Amino acid sequence: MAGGILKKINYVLKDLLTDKRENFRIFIFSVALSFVGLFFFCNMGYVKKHIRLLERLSNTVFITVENEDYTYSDIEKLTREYGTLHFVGHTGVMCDENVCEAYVYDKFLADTISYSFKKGKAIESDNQVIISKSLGKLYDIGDTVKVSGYDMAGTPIEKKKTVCGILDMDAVYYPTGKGNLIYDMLIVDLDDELYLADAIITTDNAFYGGDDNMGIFTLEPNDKYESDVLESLFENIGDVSDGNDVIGVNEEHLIYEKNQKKVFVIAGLIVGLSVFLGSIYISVIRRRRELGVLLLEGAGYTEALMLIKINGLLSAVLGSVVGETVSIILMKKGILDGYISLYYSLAVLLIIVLLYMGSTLIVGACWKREHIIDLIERDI
Amino acid sequence: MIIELKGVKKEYSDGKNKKITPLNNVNFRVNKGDFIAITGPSGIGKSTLLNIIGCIDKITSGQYFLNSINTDDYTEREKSHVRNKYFGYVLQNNGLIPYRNVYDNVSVPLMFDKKIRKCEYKEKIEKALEDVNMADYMHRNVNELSGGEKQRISIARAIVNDPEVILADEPTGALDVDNKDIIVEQLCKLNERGKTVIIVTHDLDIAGRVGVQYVFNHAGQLLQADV
Repeated sequence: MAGGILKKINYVLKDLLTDKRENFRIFIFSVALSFVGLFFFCNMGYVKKHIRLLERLSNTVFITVENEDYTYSDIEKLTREYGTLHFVGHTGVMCDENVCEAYVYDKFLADTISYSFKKGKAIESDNQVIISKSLGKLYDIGDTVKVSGYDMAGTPIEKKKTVCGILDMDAVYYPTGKGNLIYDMLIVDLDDELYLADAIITTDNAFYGGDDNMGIFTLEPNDKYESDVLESLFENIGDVSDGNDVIGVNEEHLIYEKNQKKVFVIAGLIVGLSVFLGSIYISVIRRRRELGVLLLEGAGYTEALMLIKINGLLSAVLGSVVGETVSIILMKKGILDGYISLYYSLAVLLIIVLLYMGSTLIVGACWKREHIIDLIERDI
Repeated sequence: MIIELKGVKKEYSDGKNKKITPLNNVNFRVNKGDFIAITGPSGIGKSTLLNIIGCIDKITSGQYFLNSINTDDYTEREKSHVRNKYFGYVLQNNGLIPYRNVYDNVSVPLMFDKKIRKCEYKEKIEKALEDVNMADYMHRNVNELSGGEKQRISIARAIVNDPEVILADEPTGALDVDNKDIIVEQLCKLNERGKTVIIVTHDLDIAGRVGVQYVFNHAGQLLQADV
């Protein structure tokens, strides 16, 4: 059996050397197609990442610290501070011994929410606060917490209050790239009125990075709302700006660029694909007599088809490797924009192989209906 | 006895719902060492008969025995094996692969013969080429050869793995008189060495030089001619 395989390998290798022009043509078209194909995928990957980064950056808070006393670790520490509950946005609430109810609304929905007490009782004075059960893991009835925010007139408030009640209500966790922010609820007494407020505390470090020398630090909130909150946290220690101000890139421009490139690349792909498939078709057609001879002399059909086509497949694979290598080099040097990924490279190679095998098998399937003698003797 | 056809009928459609029956109730027997010519007008079914004998075509009805085994039950794989083992083919237009050299063309049957190893190729190919007086042409490209030379290479390919039967379908059809004689002489030599040769030809002169003649009549029946 090994001897049989060796004989066939020898036949294929001889084919590679003798049918040079045909194999070279397939090699060249494979180079071109794989070059354009890989660039297409990598460029799309690049643009996708670019847009994602843009989205992230547009929500990023940049803090330029003017006070030289603040360092990287100070900023990090600030974002980890549990002792302060910062609340923004509030709606009126009414509480009795057992439950607190609030009428809440946003752009789309108006609803009444009702929470029962897990522990404790309703607020009786303005130095008390009711918290949710998730905050209840950090604080218990009787604990003192520092609460800061804005009253209804927009005046900043910062006061120490005692926890008097824990509501049976879950917080909502918003994961960010580097840390987590918790949206939670608390009930505060403002101007003798009770208000249900969104509270934000940082748990893990939402701190992204920074440079002590330049005095610039970045935080990664999950959305604009969070970034507003964090801006208010830090505006007393430095200049705060969001990503859009710093980057100055807009998404529309990027999408336009992407579409423009896409048109050219897709056109190139269609042309390349047509030429590649056409080349395979011609090379397969040329070999019909050889197919007939192999069948006549004792080959099985699939065996014969593979024998006459495997050399072309080798040329196509080699061409693909060369084309992709050139594409990668140009992207690494920055001449072409592309996000290089091994998965894209493998995908392009697989596509080339499937195209080759597919087109060969399609032509082969048509030939299977032909008489062996006709394959050998009839002119195309 | 190696080949026997009993009541063989071959029918096919011409693509326009019309049935064509080139072979109708054909009874045919070939013994080992026979040299047989099959003649008849063009299109009568001579090549069809040869294709059936060579396991290239299937019969519609009847029976075909090869070395006493009914070929009806053969799978396609088995037929491929039979073609390689028992038959050598010489076609009208030689059937060589144009972009390969003589050595590669002649070696094709050896590739599918599991008993022959790669190291034995050269010796067998050299012997086959010597038999057809083409030993000096081993590494020449077939495109450089004349019609007669190509046909001799075709014969070399047909005998390289020592099959029992040589099937020649109009082997001299595309040749001039001189080359025709050379080819017929080669086939006669093969027969003298014990090969069974079945030749299809419309050339009565050639048919007259062989041992047994069969003639197709217009009803698709094969009749042995008096020689």
